[in-house]
This record gives sequence, C-alpha cells and structure tokens, in this order.
Amino acid sequence: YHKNVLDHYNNPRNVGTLPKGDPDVGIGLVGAPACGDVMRLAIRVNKDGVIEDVKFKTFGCGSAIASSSYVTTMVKGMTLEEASKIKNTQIAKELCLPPVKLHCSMLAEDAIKSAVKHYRSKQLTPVGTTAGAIESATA
Amino acid sequence: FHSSSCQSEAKNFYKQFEGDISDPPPKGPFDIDLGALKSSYLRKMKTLHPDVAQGKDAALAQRDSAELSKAYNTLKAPLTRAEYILQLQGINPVSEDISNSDPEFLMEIMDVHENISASRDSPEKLLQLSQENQGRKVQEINEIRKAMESSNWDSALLYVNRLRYWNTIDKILHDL
Repeated sequence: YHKNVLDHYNNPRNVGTLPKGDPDVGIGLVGAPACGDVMRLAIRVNKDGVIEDVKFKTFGCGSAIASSSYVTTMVKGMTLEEASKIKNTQIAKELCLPPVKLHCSMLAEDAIKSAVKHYRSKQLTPVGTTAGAIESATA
Repeated sequence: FHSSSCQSEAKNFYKQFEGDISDPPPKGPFDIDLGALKSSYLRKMKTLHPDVAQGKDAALAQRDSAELSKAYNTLKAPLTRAEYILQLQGINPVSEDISNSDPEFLMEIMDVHENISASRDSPEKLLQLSQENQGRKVQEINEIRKAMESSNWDSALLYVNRLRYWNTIDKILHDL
C-alpha cells in the first residue's frame, strides 16, 4: 500500500453516519460485488446547496476504506454540482492505487453520486416517504 | 495416463474429473460428490508425480499438476464452482447491478458488519453471528442450485453475487 492509502486507512477521516430521516441529509449505499465491499456515505447539505458535513463507513479492503475517507475530505465544502463531477481517477491518482484496486475508487465515486441523488430525491418528495426516497435514489 | 497437455487452453475443469463426478448444470446437478472429487484428484495427482510420470517432460507434468490443482480448488467450493459454471455459460460472474437494484440487501450487509464490529469482545455473540452467516450462505447456495438446474442464469448470477458478500463476512469472522 502507498503511504497515502495507509494514512487514510490508519487515520480515517469523518467516520460515522448522519440521521437518514433529516431532510438535509443524503445517504449513498453502494457495494462492490467483485470483492464484497460495502460503503455508506452520508452528506448534510445547507440551504446554499453546499455540503457542510460528510460521514462514511466502509467495510472492505484498505483501498476501499482509504478511497471513501479521501472522498469525504474532497467533498466537504463542495456544491452538489461539484461533488457530482468527482471521478474515480482523481481518487486513484491521489492515493496511487494500482490498477487492481481501481474498483475501490469507483466504489467511492458511486457512493458520493448516490448520496447526492438521494438528497435531491428527498427535496422532491415529502419527508414522510424517506424509505421510498432511498429506493428511488438508488434505483 | 495420457494427457492432452499440448492443448493451448486448460481443459474444462469438469472434464479433468470425468467419470468420477457429474456434469455441470443444467445437464447435471450443482452439487458435487466432494469425496469422489477428492479421491479423483489425489489419484490423478499421483500419476503426475515425477517418480510416476515416466517419460513425461517435467515441465509438462508440473503444468498439468498446477491445472489439476486449480480445477480441484475451483470445483470444491460452492462460490468458485458457481462462478466457473457461469463462465462455462459465457457469463461474466461479476455483476455490478447489485448495488443499484437491491438497497435493502446492502443495508443488511452493512448491519451485519456493524454487528460484528460491536461484538468483537464477545465470543458468544461472534459465534452466533457466524452461525447466522452460515445460514445465509446455505440459503444463497440453495437459490443458486435451483436457478442453475433450471437454466435461470440471470437469477443464478444475482445469487452468486449475493453469496460473495456473505463469503467476505465469513473471512472477517474467521480472522477475528
């Protein structure tokens, strides 16, 4: 593992979750069937459409944990539009992931996009249909 | 013992044990007689030993031995056997669909992982979690069997990918 991966693996940033019932919270939950990793990424968005808080929890290999930890440091302070444009190549480059681990950075990209999508879907539906919103957000 | 070792491709894994185990689905069952598989493997390995494979090139015997080991290890475990059977059907056994089509399943996976993390100091709880995980694996394997034996390959692919998540949890529990 490259030292950047080890840093994020040994000192993961923003571990945890945010209450999925909160109207200003979006949660992305994604999996990588190839290796059985799972990743959950939660964002809290302020009235200006800026991500003001972000939490993650990943169960998987070191590169998956490092990728999601790093992505949380990227998106805090970003607008939703900026966060939606994150590419796995940026993550892989920063962490110096080898080709065999590129799917870990892809998982992190999927997670942030899924969280943004979930948040936006909640803005379009009443708070009471959170469960349905999660379904539609990840459909 | 005559080997078709000049072939450029590895022999079909099932054919390496032909006559000792059944054909793969849909013609044959998903389950394999593991005792027969092991006996066949050990017997064939003996014929590849340098002392026995007289006249055979050492490098060829070594390659045949490696291929036989790979075939055995692939077929003996349900997940790798299922993946191999999908490949025989021309299907890539890794599907990216699961994270988009089954959020409830991913939530279940996350919950199990978090339960394990919260139970690291409790051997009794970890044992219970391990037994529950075995139950889930058996269920997925049952679904894989049903799907494959009725040529329902889309369904088989889904359950193979689900099984992989439970296998990952098994490894984590085993390493604790």
